[in-house]
Amino acid sequence: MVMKLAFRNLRRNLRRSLLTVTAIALGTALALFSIGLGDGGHRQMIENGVRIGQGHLTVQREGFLESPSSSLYIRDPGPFLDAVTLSPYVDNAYPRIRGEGILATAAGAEGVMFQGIDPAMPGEATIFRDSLTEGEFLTDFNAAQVVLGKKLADRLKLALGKKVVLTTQDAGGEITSTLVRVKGIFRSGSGTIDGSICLMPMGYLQKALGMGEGVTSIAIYLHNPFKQEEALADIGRQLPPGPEHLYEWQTLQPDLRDYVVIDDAFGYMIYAIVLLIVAIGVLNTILMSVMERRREIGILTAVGMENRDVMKMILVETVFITFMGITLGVIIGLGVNWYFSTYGLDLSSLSSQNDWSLAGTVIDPVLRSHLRPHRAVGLCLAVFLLTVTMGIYPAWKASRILPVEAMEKP
Amino acid sequence: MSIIKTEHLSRYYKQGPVQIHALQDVNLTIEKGDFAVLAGPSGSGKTTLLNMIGALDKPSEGKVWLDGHEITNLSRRQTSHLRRDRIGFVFQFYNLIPVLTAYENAEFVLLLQGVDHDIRKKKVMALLKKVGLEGLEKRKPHELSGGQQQRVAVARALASDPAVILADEPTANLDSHTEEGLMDLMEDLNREMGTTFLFSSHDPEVIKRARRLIVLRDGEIISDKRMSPESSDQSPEDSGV
Repeated sequence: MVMKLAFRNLRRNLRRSLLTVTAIALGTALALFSIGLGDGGHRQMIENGVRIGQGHLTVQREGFLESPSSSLYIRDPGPFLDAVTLSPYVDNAYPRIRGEGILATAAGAEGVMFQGIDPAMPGEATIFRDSLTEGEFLTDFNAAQVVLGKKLADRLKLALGKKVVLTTQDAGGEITSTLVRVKGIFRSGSGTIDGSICLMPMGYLQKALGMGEGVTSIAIYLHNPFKQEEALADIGRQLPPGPEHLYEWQTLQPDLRDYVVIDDAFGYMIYAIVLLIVAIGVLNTILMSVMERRREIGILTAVGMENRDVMKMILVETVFITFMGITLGVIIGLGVNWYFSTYGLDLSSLSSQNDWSLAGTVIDPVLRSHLRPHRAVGLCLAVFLLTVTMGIYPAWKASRILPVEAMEKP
Repeated sequence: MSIIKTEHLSRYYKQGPVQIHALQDVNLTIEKGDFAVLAGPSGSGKTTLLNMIGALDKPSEGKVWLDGHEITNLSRRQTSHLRRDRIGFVFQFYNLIPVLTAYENAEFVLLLQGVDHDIRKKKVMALLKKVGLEGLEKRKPHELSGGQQQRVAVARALASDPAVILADEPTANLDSHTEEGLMDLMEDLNREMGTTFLFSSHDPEVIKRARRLIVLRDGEIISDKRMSPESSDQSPEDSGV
């Protein structure tokens, strides 16, 4: 009977019920869209960050993080690579040499982050290969080549085939200089990256820095970045003992981690405000409907309906409206998320300088939505709990209506 | 055997610093099977007294017994159960639930009592037939005339086999023809089923049919008479109303 009354009451004022359902649906859909787009953007940033940087997880010597000196290198990366590639979580692992140095030409000198990579490894440095605008990518493991960003090339007045000197610290802690030729120039979309990163063949750097077969780090890429915790535990168990440690990208790229955390927190605040506005709308609707039905509720209690049943009736109305709103919102939200995950949201026209760097990484100007199920479920639960909580007050108020007062006048 | 008893029943309302006496020291006993009318001008305390007896309001002083049980100090839940199981109400403005059909309105109290579907259906159909609404079961209140709505209200009041039916100005919004039909119905029910009726009214047609006439003025009972068939022909004025 309580259910029947609740549904009939909702149907009686269909337009108001539909408006409330629509408000909840739009609020839910908007929040789902924002979460999807935010998470998609963060995912792109993190993926680009780890591609440009050092992987989801990185094996490197203790102290290298604080002071990236070539003297802190892994002498024999073989056992580490074997251990890492055994893990079912790992998609790829790349040995690398990373360090800081100065690139100099007759036109000037610039501080750089250099990376020694194995150009023959499939999937290595794809983000730089894909953004190559001039010349070729590194071709030979041992060649004296360099690929650098357009901004850096311009500052040093470098063109393809030109010579440039890299000065850095070698494995023995001595300052050393080596000459390389420009093989290619990339334009990543990030002024910071294009002005500070250069890539060289690993074999050449090993010789130039006196590292033998050594590398400074092993960058690990996972099949599923969301399984990072499990991968960390699994790989950590298999690593040989020594001064080498396993680091997460959050530790190696704190700027990116902080940006994602702060942006998420800001996002939560916005969702909370949107949902609160929706919930206040629901409170207003239900309260208004209770006040309009004061006399009717008085009749129900006069003929013997218990207060708790009156309360239940109003709560059922709230729950039903909320459920319908969330269901509709999820349908709209999933549809919108599907569209923007497939076609993306192109923001390229918004940047006058075409610089898409943020928090030490490059972002794709075409944002792609990525809505994870647990985030959608969490949001729906939050909407449900918030709006149903808002329904408690009108329900309680309805249950306190005294029949003798409510039925005084028609 | 008394079905309703009040003892030194009073109801005061505060209006600013002034205390208004809606009911003063009312001692009344209604016997089982009575067809009694509370008469009196507007503001005499008829509805207030019915509300006390019907456990819709609490007295400021005094006590009320229904079917031998004191009902004055029951909890809200207990009074809900009492109204559901022991009292039938017929109100001046019909007070049907607008979203329910005639059948569902009559069925409502039985649903609250948890009566089985088959028994409910049988009983409600019989009641609707008795009040002359056969064939109109599926109509909503706004699709019924005033008289028909009041008949639904009577059916709803009778559904739980209450100890008493309290009818507050039941004919006030009906035309004379409909009013006569409704009073005939309630008289028949009283005669055939032995249901106790207590009305509040200042309608001469209702007063004329009373077998007991209790007249109130300024919250006090000023006369309480058993009416013989001969005396029921007298005018309300003769009865002190």
